[in-house]
Amino acid sequence: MTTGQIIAATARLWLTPRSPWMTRAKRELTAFSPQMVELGLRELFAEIAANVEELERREAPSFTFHVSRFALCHILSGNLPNPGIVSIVIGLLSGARNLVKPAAGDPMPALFVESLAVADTKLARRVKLTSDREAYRRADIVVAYGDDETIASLQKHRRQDAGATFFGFGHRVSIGVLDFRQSAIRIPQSSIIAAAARDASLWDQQGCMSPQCFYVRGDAAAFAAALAREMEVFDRRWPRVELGFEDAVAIARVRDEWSFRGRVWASKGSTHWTVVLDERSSWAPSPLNRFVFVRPVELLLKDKSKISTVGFAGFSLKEVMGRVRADRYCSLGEMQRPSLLLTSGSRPRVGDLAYES
Amino acid sequence: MKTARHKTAVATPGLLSPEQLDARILDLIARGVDRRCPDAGFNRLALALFRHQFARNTPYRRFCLALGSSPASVRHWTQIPAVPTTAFKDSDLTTLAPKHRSTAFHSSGTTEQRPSRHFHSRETLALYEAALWPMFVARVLESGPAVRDGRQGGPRVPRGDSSMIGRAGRTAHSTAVQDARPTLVILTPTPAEAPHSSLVHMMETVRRHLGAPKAAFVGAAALEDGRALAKAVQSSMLHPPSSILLLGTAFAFVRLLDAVKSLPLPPGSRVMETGGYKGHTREVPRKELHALISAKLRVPRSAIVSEYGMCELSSQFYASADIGLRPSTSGLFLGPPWTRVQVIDPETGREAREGERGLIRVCDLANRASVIAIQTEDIGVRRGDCFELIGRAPQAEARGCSLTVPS
Repeated sequence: MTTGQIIAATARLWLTPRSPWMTRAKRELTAFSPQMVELGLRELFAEIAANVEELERREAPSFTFHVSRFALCHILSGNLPNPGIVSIVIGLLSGARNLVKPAAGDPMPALFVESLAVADTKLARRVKLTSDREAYRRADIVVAYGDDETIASLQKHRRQDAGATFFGFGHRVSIGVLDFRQSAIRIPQSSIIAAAARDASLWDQQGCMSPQCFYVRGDAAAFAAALAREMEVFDRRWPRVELGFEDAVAIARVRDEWSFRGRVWASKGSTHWTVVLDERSSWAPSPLNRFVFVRPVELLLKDKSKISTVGFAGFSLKEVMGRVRADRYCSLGEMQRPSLLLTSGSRPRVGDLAYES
Repeated sequence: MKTARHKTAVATPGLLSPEQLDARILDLIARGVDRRCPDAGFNRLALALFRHQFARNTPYRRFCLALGSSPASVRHWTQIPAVPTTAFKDSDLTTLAPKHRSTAFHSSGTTEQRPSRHFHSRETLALYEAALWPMFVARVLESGPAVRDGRQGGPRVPRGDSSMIGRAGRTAHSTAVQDARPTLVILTPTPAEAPHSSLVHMMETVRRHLGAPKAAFVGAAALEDGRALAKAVQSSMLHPPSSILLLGTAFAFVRLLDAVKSLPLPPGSRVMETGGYKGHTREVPRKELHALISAKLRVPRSAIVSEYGMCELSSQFYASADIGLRPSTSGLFLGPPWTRVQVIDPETGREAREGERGLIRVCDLANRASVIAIQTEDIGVRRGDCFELIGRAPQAEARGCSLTVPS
């Protein structure tokens, strides 16, 4: 079996009914509700199962079937499981020895490696988990995910080691751009709204592909009201995790602020979801945890930097690309379902990590 | 046209005129600061003020209507829509016509930030001053050890104009009291240097009531240098046996204390600190700051008072080791009877249970010309009629009194 085939088999272990790995993830991944974990991980492993062999064929050079003597260190951020799992997958495809430093309290890398060992013990041995913060100093290649400060610090220290390669993926944000005029879209408005609510709610908005704002052509207020109803529907089925005090305060504070400055739709008696209509400013940071802004598309600034993903509906790709630069463009509803076959600026290519042994 | 609208509003049935409202608020203030205002009376006046503000404060009315609230639906002061303090940056939240806005208090903030603006007319400024003085007397000048021989406990001071401040404003003119008057030292800019600072205006009001010279303010230049602050305090001690009444921002105290090993104040001296740091100096937790003040200035903890206020409010809250003479309230902030404090659970938006953390919301009846219900960004814990101040909510902009010190 090739590495890709083994990883596909591992992904299928997660997708089987009553998968013990999924059961454990739902129990141990307490940063999200069990329903959210199951939905998010099913989508992740379905994508891996479907496309990892194709990824291997496209990106992994032939020599990766040999065992590389190079060490690849993954420094994971732990805000959501997907980037870490994908990082380990491409590390395995590159043939490197993988040294993985998960974020404190993140059980997912360990669970994934356990499931990998069921599919192939030998391949699983190519991944070693560590809690050593200095692990990256021993690696030939470092792939790091986290906030900009962490990435800059790691890069700075890494540069002192001659010959090492560093890939850093720091803070970025995502947005949606849509035309809400009835005449502009060929699909029902209800589908657009459901897609937007899904993108803004999945993984409780913790990923860099989660939209923080939707820029709307047409009746932005009507879209905001409709989005609010759909956020409530999504939350009933896939509830957001209960927040700690500081996160709840951050939401309450920003809700208060915008209750005067704009218009707020919010879950009753909880901070589960919030939609803010802002018709004056081009951008304001969201406190996340399903807190999304809606603005008229005229407020979208073309030169907005650090955009990861733009989800769009009712606009042509050419028009969206003309309005905003981003690493990735996709249909609304697909923002948090990135194809494994595209790097989208959120991971290195397998070939970038492959050293000929 | 504005005058015509004004007259129409006054004539609206059930709507009290500004003069009538001011009279009622002043009457409440005149009853003193130690007796809790009964709920029914507080509620009546709060609803009257809400009707007035809803009718005359256009941005506030829009805000209320967007929330589905109006005088027709609000039956209790807890239902009055509270505006976030940030709203004072966005709009002119006032019932006053532009020509009547004689004073504007601004929040401190960095130059990039638009400050909050709280407007006052001559009448509402008088109300502000009437509200601050009896609380200052009771919580700063008269709190602490009960022994009053001029060397222990609070310094005896004249109380100002009794027509303005009622019970707590009785004028004391005895020679003994005049002799025991403390030397006032104010660690802030002068009123001329900070004309929009509510804190500096409060200090100036205190200075006038105490009959202290204008030189009581150390001024902006001295605040830049801890040694200059120490020198200002030392020079005020040239005439013993007068005690010192030292008032200032937490930031100024840190700068002063960092510059001296020891600067013992005369017996009977008192200290009031307020505000935060806003990046000016290292931040020192309040308990630690009080310990430093006590150790370096040789002032007993019971003679150190913390004040909590902001430009969006017209009343102040005080905390000291023995406020209210009840040990259970030590270190907790207590407001005057014309205020009520709620602590709001950020998750539910409802009032937090006793002892639980939440965001502090103040209903201040002295805020006649703006909005009486203010949602702050400060975290606190309600403990009976008092609250414990935990600190600023995360992500909140740095703002508050300490930035009146030029950077």
